[in-house]
Amino acid sequence: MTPLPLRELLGTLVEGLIVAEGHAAAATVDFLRGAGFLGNNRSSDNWGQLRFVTFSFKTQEPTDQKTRTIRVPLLSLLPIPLQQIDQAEYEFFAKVNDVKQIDPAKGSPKSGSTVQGVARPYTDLVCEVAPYFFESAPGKKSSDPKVRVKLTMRQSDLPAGLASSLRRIEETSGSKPV
Amino acid sequence: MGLRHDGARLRAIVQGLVRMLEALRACRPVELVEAELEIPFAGILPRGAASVGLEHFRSVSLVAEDIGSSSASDLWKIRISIGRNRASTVTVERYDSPAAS
Repeated sequence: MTPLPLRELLGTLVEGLIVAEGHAAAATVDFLRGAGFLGNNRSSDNWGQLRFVTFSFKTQEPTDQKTRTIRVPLLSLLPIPLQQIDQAEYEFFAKVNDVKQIDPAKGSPKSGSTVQGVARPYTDLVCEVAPYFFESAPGKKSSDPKVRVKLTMRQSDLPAGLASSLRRIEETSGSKPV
Repeated sequence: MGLRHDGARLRAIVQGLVRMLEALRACRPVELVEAELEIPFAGILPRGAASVGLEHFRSVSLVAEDIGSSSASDLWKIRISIGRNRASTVTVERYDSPAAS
């Protein structure tokens, strides 16, 4: 693994969680569209017709036998894969290779908020992730002391502004006769 | 490598990490609930220092190889602890102190 400034290493973990959430959301959309709707035009915002399943069965009525037919949206019969990160825990060791002055303006976009103009040069430990070892295991302890990192993260509450925006979007949605 | 750094540089690194972790605590859509960082270093605590604090170390080694070659009595670690509903803390301990759970 390429050595990274420790701050960037920590930021990469958070970024990884956000990317994973994005992939999970995209997979859910793909599932809803593929299983729940008819139509093959994936690039269109028009999802086409809702996919229904129809089945029939016979019932015994007081006077005779009747066939009843039921038509339901397929999506109502399936478990929808809605994967979300509840809590993520990281624990790892990092070996310090160097101490450097990092200038985010000259580095990758990840290394600072250059777009916002707030990134300033900073000094950081340049680290690489080291093999994990259990301190309780005799003879397994590494000879070089290492940085120990333990992080617990979870999905944050929806920001008030975003919740308000989603409510407004919801108000504009509805059905209309064709 | 043989790099030694002044204590002020180490304090600046630690302050930067604390600021970053505090920013992650307020991050959206993923927020930091808890973090523990232990950063080893080699340094000599001056005799007569009233307490064990970063400000007392004038010269420190931070690179793993340099720390590894230091004597056990000069090994320390900085422990940064931050939680969702509590203030962040920075302490300096002997390196062989038990790790936080």
